[in-house]
Order: sequence, then C-alpha cells, then structure tokens
Amino acid sequence: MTISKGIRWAWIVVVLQAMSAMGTFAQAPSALPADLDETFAIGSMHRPFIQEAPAVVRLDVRRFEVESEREAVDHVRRVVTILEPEGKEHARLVLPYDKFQKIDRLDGRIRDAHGNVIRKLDDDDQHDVSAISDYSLYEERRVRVAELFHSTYPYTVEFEYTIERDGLISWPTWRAQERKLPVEHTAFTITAPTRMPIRYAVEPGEWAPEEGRVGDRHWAQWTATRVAKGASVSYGPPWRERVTTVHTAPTAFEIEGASGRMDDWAAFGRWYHQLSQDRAQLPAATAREVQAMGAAATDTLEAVRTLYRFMQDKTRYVSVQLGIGGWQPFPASYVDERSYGDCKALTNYMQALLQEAGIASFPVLIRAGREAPPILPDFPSNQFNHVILAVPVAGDTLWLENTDQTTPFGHVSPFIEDRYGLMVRAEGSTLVRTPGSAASDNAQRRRARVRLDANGDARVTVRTTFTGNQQDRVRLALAQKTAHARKKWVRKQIDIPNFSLRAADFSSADARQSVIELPLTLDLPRYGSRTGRRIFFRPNIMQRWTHVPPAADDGRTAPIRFGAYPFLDTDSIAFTLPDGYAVEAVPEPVDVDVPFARYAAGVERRADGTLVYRRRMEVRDASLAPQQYDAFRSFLRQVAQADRQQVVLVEGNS
Amino acid sequence: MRLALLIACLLAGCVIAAPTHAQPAEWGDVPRRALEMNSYSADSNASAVVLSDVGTVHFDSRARLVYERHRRIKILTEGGYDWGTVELTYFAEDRMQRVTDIEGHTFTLAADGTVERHELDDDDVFREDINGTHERKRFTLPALEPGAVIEYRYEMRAKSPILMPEWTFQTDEPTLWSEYEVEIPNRFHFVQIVNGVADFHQREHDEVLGPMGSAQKYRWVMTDVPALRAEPFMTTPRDYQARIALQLKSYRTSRGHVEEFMSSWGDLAEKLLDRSDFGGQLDRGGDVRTRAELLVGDAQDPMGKMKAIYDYVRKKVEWNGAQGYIPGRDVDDVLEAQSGSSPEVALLLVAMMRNVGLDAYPVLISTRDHGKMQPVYPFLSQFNTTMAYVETPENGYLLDATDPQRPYDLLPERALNGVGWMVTDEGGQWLSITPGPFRRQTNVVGRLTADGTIEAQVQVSDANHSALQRRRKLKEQGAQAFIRSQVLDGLSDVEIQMHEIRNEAAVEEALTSIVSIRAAAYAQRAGPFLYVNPTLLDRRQENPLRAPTRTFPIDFTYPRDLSYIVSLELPDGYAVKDAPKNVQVKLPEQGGYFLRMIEVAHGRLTMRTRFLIARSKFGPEHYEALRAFYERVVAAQAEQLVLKRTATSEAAEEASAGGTGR
Repeated sequence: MTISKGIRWAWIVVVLQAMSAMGTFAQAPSALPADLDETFAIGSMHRPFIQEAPAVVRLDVRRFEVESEREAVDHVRRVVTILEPEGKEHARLVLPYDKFQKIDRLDGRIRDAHGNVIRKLDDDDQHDVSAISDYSLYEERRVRVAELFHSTYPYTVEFEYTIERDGLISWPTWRAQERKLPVEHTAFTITAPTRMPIRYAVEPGEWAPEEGRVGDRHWAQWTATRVAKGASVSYGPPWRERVTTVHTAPTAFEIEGASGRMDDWAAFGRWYHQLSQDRAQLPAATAREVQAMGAAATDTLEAVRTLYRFMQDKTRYVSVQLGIGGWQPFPASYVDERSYGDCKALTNYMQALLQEAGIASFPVLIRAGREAPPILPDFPSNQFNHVILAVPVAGDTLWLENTDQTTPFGHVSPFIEDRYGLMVRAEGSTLVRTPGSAASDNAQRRRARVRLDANGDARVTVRTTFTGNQQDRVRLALAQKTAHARKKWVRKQIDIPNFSLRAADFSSADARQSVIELPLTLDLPRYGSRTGRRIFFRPNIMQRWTHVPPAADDGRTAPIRFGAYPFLDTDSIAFTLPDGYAVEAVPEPVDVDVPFARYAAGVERRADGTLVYRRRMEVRDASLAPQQYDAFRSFLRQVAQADRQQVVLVEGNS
Repeated sequence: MRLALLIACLLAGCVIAAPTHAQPAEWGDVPRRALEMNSYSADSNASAVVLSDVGTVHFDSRARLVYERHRRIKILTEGGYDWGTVELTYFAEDRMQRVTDIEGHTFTLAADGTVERHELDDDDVFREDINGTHERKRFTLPALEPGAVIEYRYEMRAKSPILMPEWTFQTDEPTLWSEYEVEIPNRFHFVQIVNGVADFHQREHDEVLGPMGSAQKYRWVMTDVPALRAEPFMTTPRDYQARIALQLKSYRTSRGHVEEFMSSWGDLAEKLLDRSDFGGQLDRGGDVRTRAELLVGDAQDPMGKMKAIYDYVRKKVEWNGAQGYIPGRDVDDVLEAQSGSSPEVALLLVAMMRNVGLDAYPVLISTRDHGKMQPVYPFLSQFNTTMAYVETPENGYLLDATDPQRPYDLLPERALNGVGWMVTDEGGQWLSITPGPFRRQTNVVGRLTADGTIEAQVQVSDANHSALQRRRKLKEQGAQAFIRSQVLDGLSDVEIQMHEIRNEAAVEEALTSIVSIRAAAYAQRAGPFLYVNPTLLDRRQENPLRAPTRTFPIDFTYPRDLSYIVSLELPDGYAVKDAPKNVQVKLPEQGGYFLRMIEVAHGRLTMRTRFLIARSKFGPEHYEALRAFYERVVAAQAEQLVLKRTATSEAAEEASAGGTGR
C-alpha cells in the first residue's frame, strides 16, 4: 500500500461507541448519531459550515448488505442543505444502472429551513437517459437523474435509494467526502454472511472500522463527523487521491454464472484466465498466414515484432460492452472478422496470433492512465481498467499495448509504465511491475538554424528528435493526423504564432519507431520585433516555460506532481544576424542545479558573427515531497525568467 | 460547382484535380479505381472522400414517408475512420419514425490485388434508447483500413410528412456526387429552401404517377463539392453549407379540402398564441401573478417593474441548458421548480411581466450555431430558442434570463444572430438585434526601478460582454486564480500584493479589478541598458486572421473597444534612448481604429492606446484590411522602450562598486 506522507487530516474521526456484542440488534448498529435532528432544520447545522460552501452534506450514510457471492443490496440516504443558488447542482442525484445493478427504490423530499417537508420527489423530477461512454460504440449503461430544486433558500433535499446488485465483482470504494462539500455526518457500513470475510484496505493513512457480529452475519463500519470543505492544490495529486479512501472487496464472487475468488492474486488471475479460455481459435486462413510469418522470422523477437505489426495494421479500437462482456474478451475469430475490438479482445487476439506461432504470452491486467493512482498491491481485488500483453523473450519481457495502431513495438507509454499489473496465467498469476523511465530516456533534442533579416523576419530550419515518453507525446499528437491538425500542433510549439510552414516531414511520427525525428522549415514573420534602430528577439524559439507556481499559503502538505514523467530537453540554436547590426545585449548565462532538476541556458558569440543559444532542462524526478515546494517554485521561477530573456541588436554602432 | 471548386483551389494554392467524372454509386459494385485511389489531389487535408451520397423520398399508398439513403465513402487515412461509425437518431415516440434495413459493407484490396468484401453483421447494429422519446441506431463497419471503401444504406419511415429529411450536399470532407430525389404526391405541397452555393450539376422536375396518384418528382445533383470547415469569426459552417430543406406548406384532405399547414407569419403567430403550451402560458395568473406582484411591490415605473422581475428570474430560475421554442411545462411549474429550458424561462418572464401590466411578448430566434434565420419562409423549425421582449413607453428590451451573471441589457452571445421574431396578436414582427460591445479599460500606474522591476497599481474595468465573460471566469476560478489568469494574463511571474474586485454581484455595473503588483525582472537589464515593453497587459500576440483570403463574412459577434493607459515613473539616472512611435491605423468605412500615443516627460512614460472594432460584421471585401489591421496592432504592441544609464550615474555606480567598468 502506498501511503502518501504529510496528508493533512481534514477531519476528526469520531467513532461511535461500540455496540454491545450480540443479540440487541438484528443487524449492524445504526450509523446515525444519537443526537441527529431528523428534520435537518438549519438551526441544528454546524455553524461554521454555513460560511464555507454553497451546500453542506448533513448526512450521507451508506449500507452495503452482501447477500451472497452474487447479490447485494446497497442502501443510501443522503441529505444536503442547499444554502444558495450556487449549490443547486447538489440537489441533483445521478444514479447509473445496468444489467448488474437495478434501482429498486428512490425516494426524495424537500424540507424548508425549519425542517418541514414541503414536497416529495415525483416522476416530473426524474428522467432516464442512455449513458454510453464516449469511447464506446455500445454499452448497456443508463442513468436515472433526479432533481429537487426549490425557490427559497436555504432548503434541504433528502434522497434515499436502494440498488439491487446481481452479479458482483467489486464491493464499494468509499470516501468520507465524495465531492468537496463540508460533511456533518457520514458513515459506511458493510455487512455480509459470516461465511464471507469482509476484506478492506484504507489509504492514504489509517482508519480502523468498528466491527462486530450478529447471528450469522458480521459487519464493519466507518463513521466521520464534521469533515471540513476540500480544496484543490496546484501541482498536486487530484483531491480524490488526497482523501482517505476505504476499499472493500469480496473473497468469492459471481457474475453472470462466472464465479471466482480473490483470496490472493493467483485466484483472481485464475478467474480471468478461465473467462478468456478457449477464445484463441483463429480462422484457418489467418492461422496459415501467421505460421508463414513465424517461419520466415529469424528469431522469436523478430516473429513477435512481425505479428505485432500485423495486428496493428489489421485492427482498430472499438469498444462494445455487453453483460459479462465487460470482463470476457470477444473471441479471436470475432476480431479477425471485423478487424476491431476493445483492449480485452485485441489483447486476446494478439495472444492468439503468438500462440499460433508457438510463442507463449500472458495478459497483464493494469490500471492505465497517465496519472492514475497506483493500485493497492496487498489487496487482491478488481482494481484494473485495462489489459496489455507480456511476452517473455530472451530473458526479458516485452510489454505490448494492443489498442493503438501507432505505438512503437514494445514501447511502454506513460499510460502503463512503472506500475503493478496482474500477469494472468492458468496457475500462479502474480503481480508484475512494468518498467519506469529516467529523464534521459524521455529526451527532446533540438538543433536549429535561424537566419534573421533586418525587418525582424526569420527563416528557421529545425530538426527535433524525441525519444521515450516524449516520442509518445509527439506521436499521439501527430500520427495519422490531417495536415491541418499537424500544422496546428506546430503552431502550439512555437512562440511566434504567425508562421508559415515551408517544409515539414511528419512521416517519422507514423513510422512506429522508438525515435521520432521531425525536420521543419519555417518562416517566422516578425520573429524579431523592431523598435526604431533596434531588433529584439527571444532566442528560445520553442517551448518557453512561462508558468510560475503560486506561493504556498500556509505550508505545503500535498506532494508535488511535476508532470507525469522525468524528461530532458536540449536545444542548440544558431542565429545568423542581419548585416549592419551589432549585438547590444544578450541574456546572462544561467545554471540552476537542484536535487530534482537542472536548467542551464546561455548565448555564445562566435567569431564569425553568429550567435549560438543553448538550453538544457532536465527534470530528474517528477514527483516530489511537499517540503520541496519552495525549491520547486524557485526553480521554475528562474526557468521562466531565463526563458523570457531577449537578444537586442542595434543598427550601426550602439 | 466546378467553378467554385476551381476558385477554392486556386486560393488555397493547390493543384486542381482532373474532373472526377463522378457518378452515383450502385450498391455493392465498387469500381477498382475507387479502391486504388490513395489521395484526393483537390484537397490535401482530406482524410476521407464521400464518393456518392444518394437519398430518395417517396410516399407509400398510406401516405407514409419513405426515405432511403445510400452512402459510399472512401477512407484515405486512419483519420477518416470516424466515417465508419454511423449514428442514426430518430423520433421514436408512437413509432413516429423508424429506421430499418440497415446494411453495410467494406471493400478492401488484398495484397494479391483481389477485392475483398466484409459484411456488417446484423448483430453489430445496436439500438439505443436515448431518453424515452428518441432512439439511435449505432454501428461501425468492419475491416477498416486506409484505402478501404465503405458503403451503407438504410430506410427511414415516418408517419408524418413534416418529418421530411433535410439534405446536405456538403460536409467537412469533399463530396464527389450528392443526389437527392423526392417524389411528392400532389396532395402535399412543399416549399424548397436552398442554402449555400446553389450550383447544381443537374436539376430536374417531372410529373409522375406514384402510389398516391400523380406526383411531382424533383431531383437535385451536386458534384465535386469542396469540404466546408470552420474558420475563426464565423457563426456556423451551416450558414454557408450547400443544402436543401423541404417544408410542408399545405395538404389536401381525403375529402379534397386544402389545409394550409403553414401559410404566413401571421398564421403562425395566431396558432402559437392559440396553443395552450405557448399562448396559453402568457397570461396565467395564480402563483405567477402573486410572485410578480410581490416582486414589483409599489413600483409604478415600467423600467423598475421589468428589472425586478428580470433580476428575480435571472437569479432564481436556473436554465437547465435545454433549448427549443416551445416549453414543456406550465410556467407555474417552472416557477416552482426554479429550473427550466430556454422557452420555459422566457415564457415565465413574459407571464410575470404581463401580470403586472407590462407590455411583454415572446420572441423566437435561431442561435448562432443553429444558423441564420430566413424571414421570407414562414417556418417555425428555423428557430431553436425563445426570449422575451418588453416595451416600455421609452424603449423596447429583448430579455434572456438564462444566466445569473447577465444584466437585463445584455443578450447571450449565442443570441446575437441578427434578428428575432416577436409573436404578437398582430401577426408577429421581426426585431433586429443589436449586440452590445465588448469593452475593457485598463489603467496601469506605477514605477520601474533600475533592476527591471515594475511596481504598479492595475485597474481593469470590464463592461458588457467583457464583463459577462470575466464574471463567468471569476465564478469558475475564484478571485485569486481569476486575477492571475485573466486580469494579469501575459505577466508570467508576478507577485500580487493586494487585490480587490468590485461589482462582482452588481451585474449591471462594470466589473472592476484592482491589483497591486510587483513584477520582478519585467524589464530586461543588459549593461547600461534597460528594455521594457509598456504594453504589460492584454498584449495581442498573434493575428487571429490566419487564412490569406476569405470568401464569407467576418462576424466578430459584437463590437470591440479596448483602451489601455499606462503611466510609469522611470528610474533615476536613466534616459530614454529610443521609444516606440505614435501609431494610427484605421479600418475602412469607420469600421474602427487602433491609436497609440506615447509621451515621455519629467521622468515619466505615458502611453495611451485604443483598439476599436466598431461593427460586429464585415463583408469579405474588408478581410484584407482587417488582416493588415491586426498585423499592425501585433507589431505595435511588441515594441519596446530603450533606456540607458546616463554617464553621470554610470560613473557614480562604478565608483561605488570600486569598479573596473565594463
């Protein structure tokens, strides 16, 4: 478990008195405070909260009752006081549902400031809409939206609903604060038959629940009161990651007839393996083609490369999620016929191709995302949203991303790098770690020549190479894009907006190579700004650093995120100056070296009258401890200042 | 179309393709040269080309509308894959509309040169229930690859002739052949509304015998239609898109009686006013009256009454984001729910105002993204939203209360689309909409020190549309971030010593931001020199008009008026070595100007600039002038002041440093 240090405890955890063990209650103890004002009149609200936010969560209690491996009932009661119109959105409830979770009951009411019920939720307050994710062609998800708006502020809305779950792979993940609003009282209770263990994990920080047993059921409960308003921090992890989170998970589960266990990672892996078994059959024609490609390859690595390229050329990403299909891949024949599939289907297809060529490979379940929080490695459960393929070759492992047609062979992108994944085998599935990258892996190297004329116009020839995750960044922006989109990207890279692109070769972005090389020739009208006899220009043509983080208000407590990965940028730009002009001023050389980064820049005057600008920016560590905030800020401030320095030329003698 | 294409190509500086000899596609029969084609020389940006798009409409013997469509598309690059995924949305309530018989396939060329055909499986066509009234069918074609040709067809049946589809000849990719054929039984009479460049390759009209007796058959064909893509300062590409709409004008009943479906604006106004969900809402009393009377209190003057009601609805009734011109609920329900669609909010305004004796009417408009209105054609379907109009003895006011940040005298940007149609008992009336300006006044007073630091008091006052936009940002970002990202945009490293924002809630007043700043190393120091750009804020960095030419109007939405005054005390011991000159640039026909005056006196620099675009709309003939205008502004705002240490102070400094000099 990763524990981020220095998290400020935003609330005081008040644990209820433990209830006497057996017999008194037919189920787990009530999660409601003893002195709860059931009318939720404004008078009984924690006073300081009134000033903090446009709405206050008065009560948010959730009780998740596990009936069996397959079924559970989720009860929620949420009461929110809306203090002013800005808080209106919190009077809206959005409930997703699908084949596995059905809304059984939904009640709501509005109370006035004195706590009197003035209206109940009816059909006019609700609508039901389709909710297919934007990346999917089809899903069965829908949402029910309920709104309780009222004309006189403040007012209080109360929602109470029950969701019946049939088909369970996950149990809830719960936070004391779901949105940034202040919370007066919240609780999460989970109950289950005693034969089903209640597993939980908490991060960041620690938070032990009350636990108990009543008859043949047991329970765990977390309660919190007076949770202060949440806030976002710049260059920090998202707010949701800084809030203490309770994860729960079953040990045994069943969904659409597919039952499995999560005692350990091997068990969960076994379940996924069984689900995707016997789905590797390729049509005869493709099988023959694959065998021929395999036979033609000189070694295993070569064969994997050829087949990966074959898969990339043939397929595209299309997501269709139906029932158990959210977990079970479509068969290889389905992908072969249609030339599309989602991550599961495409990974299964790639695995089938390799199998046909006699090469073993293993799916790796992973939580993908450039800045996705790490999974809890000691808490076997469904924490994944993506699958890739691991191929052991010559003592090493190749990691194949199968949903993108332009990824270079074996490239581990920021989407999947440096994290745990579950390598799935029939037996002995284990957590494995994808490789990370260092600054020098993620490099951008730029060499340019600039010819400046007396009007301030410039002709620039520049060649830039990108490796590692910078290759990834550039490829995602340029590969398979229209000329228009590419030109737009170039515009964003250059500080001089009105340029014309004279020549460019973007083919390297499409080539699926680990290094992208981009030659450009540009005309930059008015690159230098003229005033009277002088010409001013900034020698850093591309990617100036302009943003300086704000000063931390009262000591930084959240860790610092400085982008998604370490990187190294080097620029060398040679300027030929217009005849008849002398250099009046050049930027002072700068060299800032701190433990996590280094920046150096300067201008060299050559004997032949040309100027050479060199800049090097290396960020060695992209995530820093909170105590480093001042150093981090000061570093970027110096970078921003150095990046805006200009060269001044003057006509004749200065 | 040929000529238009030729012009477009010459302007874009590309080579024209040989005529394509385009022709309509025959289902399943893809010529080899369509598969072998790997680029489209007339448009190098194309990632797909619509090879053929054919739609036909006829009415069956039970007067149901039957629409068949067949589309064939060449995929040039992976960027064109989006064309392989198709969504067909229809009105499913009471089975008013149905989409059936979807078929599709993909043709590819195998390595050995054989043509392969990949069928769309019926199981891969998904039906989505969007919201209970509308449904959508979605599918994606199999086996896509660059070079593939895809083809699909479907049938749409509608119970009513008013669901006649509109045909678009032009998309954001080039189209080689686009054809629409409509067979209309003589029982129905439709008017044709043609938009964009009406350069038909073929245009036919015949009298034929159909399932419902004699019918009029029309056929329109366009070929080699260039792609239409968005550009800056454009309402919507739809305004310039080649398309044809058919609107039912009248029909003959089975007894032979002719019913006017829509005949005149006067008729439309009358019908709207007769509808219980429109006209019936305007004079509703009850809670609406009680609330309105309560708000107005003893006020007698119409202006005061109007503002009281407008401000109440603006602040209290939330716009739920839905557009339309007919409300879905009664105004009393909208008042109670405190939330509603644009027509619901508008009719609530009208009803409340009428209840306190104001002269108020609903006004229908089409928003900018929905397209321009055509007053010559009396069809309500061209509108997509409703606003309110109030007439006081002195003046008339168009009101739209869908934004709590917007004062009564300002309309949302989306509504600034030329005209609106007021629904009155006297047959309706067109109102012209004059946009209020975007106005900003910036004052900077401070001093520059010898180390390049600027300490200054900044006061920015935003009015009308500028205030509206900034209030939105302020609410979104909070004061701190707002000051940094909006007011001080352009200053990358600045310390804020004090800030104050005035009139945040007083939306009728200018939004005023006052900030004390310290910008270290703002001016660059080099030896004896100090370089400083006096345009600290709101510096225009680029010319927004990038394209070298333009064939349609430039629509700025509203006039723009930005003035900027800076007064800087210069450091002791420095003299001005060089300063930017005064500038005056004018737009033709009093279209606006850019003015700059600089003065250095008594150790103080004073610069005044004014940037004015006086009209919101310019014809394409002024494009060149506008582009040059922006060019001059960008250049002028980049100019810098050069200061040099005077000899005496230099000597003093060197002496104190015990210096060796430079």
